[in-house]
Amino acid sequence: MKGLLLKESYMINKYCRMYLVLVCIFGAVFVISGNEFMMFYPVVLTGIIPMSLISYDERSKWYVYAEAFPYSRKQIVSAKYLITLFYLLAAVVILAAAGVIKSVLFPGGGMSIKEYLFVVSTVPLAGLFIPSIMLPPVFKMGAEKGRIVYYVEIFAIALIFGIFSEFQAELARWLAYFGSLIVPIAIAGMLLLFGISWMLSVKFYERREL
Amino acid sequence: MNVFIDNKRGAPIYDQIYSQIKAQIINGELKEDEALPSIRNLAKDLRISVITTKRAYDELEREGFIYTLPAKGCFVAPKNVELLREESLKKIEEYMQKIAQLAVSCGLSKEEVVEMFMMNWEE
Amino acid sequence: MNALEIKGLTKAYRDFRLDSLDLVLPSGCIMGLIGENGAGKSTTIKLILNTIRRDAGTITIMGKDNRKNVQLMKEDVGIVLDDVGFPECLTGKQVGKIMRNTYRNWDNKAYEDYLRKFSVPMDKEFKDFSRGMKMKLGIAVAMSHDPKLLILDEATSGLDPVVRDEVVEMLNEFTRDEGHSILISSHIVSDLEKLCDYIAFLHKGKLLLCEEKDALLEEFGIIHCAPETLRELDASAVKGKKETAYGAEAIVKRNAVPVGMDVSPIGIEELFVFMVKEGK
Repeated sequence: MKGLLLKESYMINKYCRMYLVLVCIFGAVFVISGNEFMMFYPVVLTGIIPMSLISYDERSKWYVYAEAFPYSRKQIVSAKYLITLFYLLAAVVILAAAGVIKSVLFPGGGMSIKEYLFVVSTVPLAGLFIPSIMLPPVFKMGAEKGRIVYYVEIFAIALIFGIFSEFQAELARWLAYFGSLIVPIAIAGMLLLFGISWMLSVKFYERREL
Repeated sequence: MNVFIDNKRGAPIYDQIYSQIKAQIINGELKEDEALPSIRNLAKDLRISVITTKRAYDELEREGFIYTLPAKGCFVAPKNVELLREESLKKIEEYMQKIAQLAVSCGLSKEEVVEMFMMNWEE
Repeated sequence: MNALEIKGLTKAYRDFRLDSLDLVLPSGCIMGLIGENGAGKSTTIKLILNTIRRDAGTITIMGKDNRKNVQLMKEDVGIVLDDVGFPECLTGKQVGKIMRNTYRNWDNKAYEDYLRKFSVPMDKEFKDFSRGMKMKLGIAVAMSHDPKLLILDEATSGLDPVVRDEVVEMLNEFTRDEGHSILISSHIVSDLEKLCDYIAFLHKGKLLLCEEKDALLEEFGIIHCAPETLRELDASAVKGKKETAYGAEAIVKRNAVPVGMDVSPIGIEELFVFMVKEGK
């Protein structure tokens, strides 16, 4: 699969360089301003990378052509998931570095290093969310139709959140019940979602007729 | 060995190859025991089908003009006087048939044809 | 062992049906698959590659079922499709690196030699390639991993005559080795006519014929005569005809017309067109 990953990274290098630059910029802004929310945005952006790559692939008619090479459908799907993980990791490293620099340059205030590192390792998981729900429909039906399904999903999620906001107070109480376990559970949940998404995408793509 | 293929008109390609190689063997351009290009290489050099060259070689071998050594290739068979004579006989018969056809088509009788022949022979 | 064996291959779409295709490509041979656009050539190739699922039939590549060990099978098969689908940002050099990490038997020197011979630049982005250059890159890739079988789908259409000749020459050289075979589909017949050992005609999903090219050219011929003469011939001898104000033209089986009738040699393209029209 090395060849596939190489191909993805050549493409990211060409098309998605902006994202990593943004991650660095936001990291710098965080260092200066101390606003922790600066960290979320670039990480979420990284989640868009696989979708972007798939659009370019489809435009080149890569998927039909890739059938000529000794790669399984599973590998073709997995390359996208792996490369997403890899670049999220890169974003984590950059943000961790930013945090370390911040606490060295502007000691005191905000979070301790330990707290910060903890957040940095969980925030990127938010970046897993978008690819998890976007990739399976795209692998099943192609970028155009898949994107529509994705919008439907977002709408459905927004709807659900809207409904739940009614029960905000109850929800808050319910979450407080878990206490400090809430974060590990969120991590596990996100990883599980990513894993299920990966399996689903493989299943969908294996059955697809191109 | 020179082989020229006329794509547009002319006899079937295998026949062109067969005839040309045969002629070169008969007139001595191709020497006894000389190695011929392999069926495959000849086909690729001439940019034609392997099946064609195989057919030409099969025909040549069947008539005794070439022989094959397994794993070595095809070679020109030693000149066989009998064979050459037979070739000439075949050609004479071919021509005779043509003469007969032409004669019939322009109304010459058998006797008239024989008479013509005798006149030409004496010359 | 045959390079490719197809039996009873069937695939139905809403408005098209590939109908029980039987095809055998013996090892070391070149087969030209001729058909008009939409005849089913690309469908057949997609079925060979397992890109789409068949409704019925079997396909064996070099003796093995094409649905088993697909990745291993593709190591030995070089494929060029009419759309060479490399991502637009890649350069020839990058493609080489990717392929080096894709194929077990990747020969990078051979690849660079092909590109050099084809005058394909190593550092230009794929999106800036002309169609001919894209095709040449595709062919270079397909030939640089020691394939035993080459499958080309419309690989010469859109190329200028000089490039086409270069490609035909390369394919010719490829089959100097008797372990190498080629299946090439095209609707440009002239390229195939000289090169092929076997010719198959595909029309609207049906195989009209599959024969040795030489046998085909000997079996059929064209006659030019008066329409009355044409009508006097045995109906089974005539495979297609055309009558104009100046006379009639017909494709006939050479051994079914009277001796002495002047039968001219026929080209594969003419044969195909006549057969298709006759079928209508």
